[in-house]
Amino acid sequence: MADIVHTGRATPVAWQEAATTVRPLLLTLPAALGLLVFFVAPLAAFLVYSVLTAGLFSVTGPLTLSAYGRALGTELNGVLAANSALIGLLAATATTAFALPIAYWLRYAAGRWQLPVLFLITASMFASYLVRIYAWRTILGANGVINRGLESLGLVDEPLGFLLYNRFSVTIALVHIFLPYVVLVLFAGFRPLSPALLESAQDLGADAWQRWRRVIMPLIAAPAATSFLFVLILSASDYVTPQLIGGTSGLLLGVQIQANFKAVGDWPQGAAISFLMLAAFVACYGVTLLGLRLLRLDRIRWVS
Amino acid sequence: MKAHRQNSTAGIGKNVDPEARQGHLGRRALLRGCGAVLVAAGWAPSLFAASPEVPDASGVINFMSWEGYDFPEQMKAWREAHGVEVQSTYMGSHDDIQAKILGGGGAGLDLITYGSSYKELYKGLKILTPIDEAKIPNLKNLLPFFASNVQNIWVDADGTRTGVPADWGAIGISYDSAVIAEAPTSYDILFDPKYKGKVGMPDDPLGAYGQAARVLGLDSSKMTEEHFKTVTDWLKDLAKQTKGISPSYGDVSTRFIAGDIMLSFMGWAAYKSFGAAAGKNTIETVWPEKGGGLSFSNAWAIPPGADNIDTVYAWINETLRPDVNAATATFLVGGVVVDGAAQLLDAVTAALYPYDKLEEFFALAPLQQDPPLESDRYVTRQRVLAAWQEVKSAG
Repeated sequence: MADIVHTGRATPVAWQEAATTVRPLLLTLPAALGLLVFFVAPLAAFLVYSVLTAGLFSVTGPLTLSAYGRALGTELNGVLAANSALIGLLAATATTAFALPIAYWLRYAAGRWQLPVLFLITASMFASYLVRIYAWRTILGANGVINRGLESLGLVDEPLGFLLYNRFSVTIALVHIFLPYVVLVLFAGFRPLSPALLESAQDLGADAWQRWRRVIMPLIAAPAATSFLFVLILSASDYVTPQLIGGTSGLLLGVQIQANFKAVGDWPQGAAISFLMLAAFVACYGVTLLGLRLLRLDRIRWVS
Repeated sequence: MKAHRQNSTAGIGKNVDPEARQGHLGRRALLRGCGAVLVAAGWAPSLFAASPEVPDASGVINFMSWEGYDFPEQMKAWREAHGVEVQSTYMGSHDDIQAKILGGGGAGLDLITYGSSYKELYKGLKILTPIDEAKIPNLKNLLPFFASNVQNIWVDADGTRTGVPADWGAIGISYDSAVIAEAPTSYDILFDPKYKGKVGMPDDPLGAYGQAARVLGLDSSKMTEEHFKTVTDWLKDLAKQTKGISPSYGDVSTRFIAGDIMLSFMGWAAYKSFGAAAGKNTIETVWPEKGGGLSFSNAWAIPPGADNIDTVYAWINETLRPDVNAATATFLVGGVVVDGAAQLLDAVTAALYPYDKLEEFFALAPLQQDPPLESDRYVTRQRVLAAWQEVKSAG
């Protein structure tokens, strides 16, 4: 009987403990399965492709690292990788720099304009990626809005050629494309920070710059770093924008992946370049985490 | 054109009187027809067994090609008459087709097209299946050039047909006559310093190597290492004259219309129509005596995963009717492949190519031939495509 009583009391407790442990796992299961199917599995397939022997639009055995040798030994890949890094850094820096004040204004100063502006930012994302790129061609082109305007004002005799088909135009278009996303991420980052914190800092004698440097920047550092990485990775790996407005100087490494898979038929090299880019991005992520840790910004949490 | 018709009677359509094909039944044709009826009466069973017959069309055609090649309006009546539905996948380049089929997505794909320069690759990749000519009676309508097995693009050396011409076009030098009054007579104009940054070039590596080789008096299908270097250097120099390689021919047209370029290497005759539609009527294309140009032709083909083949045969047969071919060529701003279709074209489309001297034109702008897939002697297709990336970033 005692055993029965004991069992009767212990079972719900054990069950509750088990449920406490299992429930989070069950809740994360769909997301984990999604990642497994749509992220891990393709990556694994790419990894296998990258170490197989290349045929023409085919792969065969035996296992080899020659694709990595070709990817690293091609001079053009080095040039395009440097281009990708440069344009990725420029786009990420500019986007984050523009987005921070916008998000700050939206959170603390927009007042009744907050909702309409947020709506407009969200609505701008409904415009097609390609439409936005072509819009920049219309703006920056020889007969574009800027050149026509400058000519009609008599400021230039002939269209400014440096506005389009180079790194500059690629960076501008990428900043435009990613700015709405980053504004929303940073706005969400500012969201939990009560204005009372800033008021307290002000009461304690902090001027505007000190409030930014000592209060806001440490708290927004992690979301800002995330946004920076987001833009860096997507910009550096883009291959559509550079082909449309990049000219001969604005091509990025992504075009080599596309070319190897679609035209050249060297699938292992395409996969190898993909993995090398992935390794570079993981390294960027590691450096960012390390930087936040060294600056002791990685453990700061919001106080509501 | 009469010579063409006579030639055609010596080819696939040799038993068809061209007068009768045009609907003009003359006395001699009538007599021959009566004779044929009498002969047919005696040999009816065997004759009917051997005569070409279009298979019944029904169901769904899963189709992959360029946007527009499913002819939404031009084939609408045929589709409705047979209850056929066309489910289309549009490609950005021919490379999408091999990517789909070799990537395992070709099951159930019934109909594709291939550019003339892709024949060897697709044959090597086993993307093309034999086509039964008996199920496409309208093959007899093909113009002599397209009825031939020139360069084995549509018919292999062993007589196996793998493709049926759908349309064609040609590339040369396109220019904006509003700013360049005299038609270019040489490819040297592309390197004129005053046009630096004003020259266009599409992202078509095999076409670029093919045409550059022709300008330099070489053959891109038989390039030695030295030739390859010469052609690559020429293209790199040309890339420096551009502000970037356009990702498509459509993009070159857009740059012409926007005024960003004044000239284009591998200029497509169809730019004239594209420009006119956007209010710019000054884009012309020429094929200079030295260097000429290149032609291309898209062909219908049946991939290995097709499962509605009879309907595909009926589709192809329908597109080879002169009136349908004229309508589709007008829609695609391309050249016709069927006898009697050129006369049905509107003035703008008819003026694109000289139908009265096609043989001469194809001598000046032959169908593109690409580097070999494998060779110990000549530079291969794969190396050309890899080198093209260097050309693209040569500015």
